Amino acid sequence: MEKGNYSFRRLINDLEADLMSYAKNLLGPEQITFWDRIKIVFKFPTFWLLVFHRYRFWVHSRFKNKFIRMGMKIFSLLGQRIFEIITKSEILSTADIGPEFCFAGKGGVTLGAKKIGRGCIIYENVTIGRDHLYNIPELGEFVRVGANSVIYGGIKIGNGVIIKESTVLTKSVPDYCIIQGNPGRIVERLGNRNPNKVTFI
Amino acid sequence: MMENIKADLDRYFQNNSRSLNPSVKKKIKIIGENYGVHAIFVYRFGYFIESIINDKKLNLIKQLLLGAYYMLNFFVIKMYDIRINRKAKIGKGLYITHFGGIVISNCILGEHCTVNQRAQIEGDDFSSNEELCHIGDNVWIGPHAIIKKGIKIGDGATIAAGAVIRADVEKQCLALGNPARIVNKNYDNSILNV
Repeated sequence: MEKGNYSFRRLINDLEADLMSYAKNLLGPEQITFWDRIKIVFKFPTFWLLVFHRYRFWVHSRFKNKFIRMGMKIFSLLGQRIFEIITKSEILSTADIGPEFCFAGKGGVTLGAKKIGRGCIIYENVTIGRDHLYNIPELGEFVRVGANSVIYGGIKIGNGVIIKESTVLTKSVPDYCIIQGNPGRIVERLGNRNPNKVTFI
Repeated sequence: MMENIKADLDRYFQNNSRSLNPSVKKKIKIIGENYGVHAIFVYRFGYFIESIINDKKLNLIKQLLLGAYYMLNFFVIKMYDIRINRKAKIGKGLYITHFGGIVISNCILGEHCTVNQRAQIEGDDFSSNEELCHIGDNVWIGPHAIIKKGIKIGDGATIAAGAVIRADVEKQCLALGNPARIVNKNYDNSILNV
């Protein structure tokens, strides 16, 4: 994590983009209204997990003094513990998550990625990462990870990759392809097709 | 019971900090952050009740303690989603990483084992000891792995992430895939315990 790289404006913009992503993926592609925003905040506890994670990430990036950091983190600590237990999910504190991120599903996610690009979607019961220091994967943009899959070790996943459900992936993967199986293999290459247009599952 | 709990805690301190003997502040932090420790405490308490109190005169005390155990176990299941059967025979030095979806049914688990998130060991309460899973010492069970009932696993074996074990695994082997096949017959799993 680089110091001073994550400004307060970026925090607010990222959360706004996350809200839009939740609305698009879980409620439908229609125009989002004020009531839809309220619905997302109260219906999906995984959204709150993201809020607390981004807040803690911003505090680490913005403040260098140890005591101010501790004071700011008191607000997030209890809330984070509560939502960790409600959703059965954990997020590594140094994970740099891009905007338009979405947890589709109930949770059960153990997320220990070094960097996650823009527009990723993660379904339920997924494990990403092996430990908290050395073997941490890096995800590109618009990656979709299906339910019950495992991404393990210090690997690199390209842009627009689709990982199907119950995959176990331990090797690096190029851009734009579909991966399936245990151990995971490339099933189909998408070429330069727009990953947003490919229907999932 | 205290001996086993001390071995479990040593395992947690060793894996979560660089030194074997961290400061008191760090010890409290490690115990608070790792939800698996709480589940292990509750399991050891439940096993202790069953093993120590065999006298019929002390039946009332046993029932009261069992009531306390069931209440604690309820919270562990609802909050952390870790289900450990209290009849399972688990050796000292168990290490549970993360939480969620862990099922350890009635089985015989050796010393210094590691169980990752969403790993399942199948079994039931009614079978005899020979029909249950026998898992040796220093076995590393990866995330999302499933071990079927009645499987024998040797000492120092490694079950990779997402493996589904349907046949016996010999000692020092690395098994991966669905259904699992043995890839390496002399694999050292000590590097996996960071």
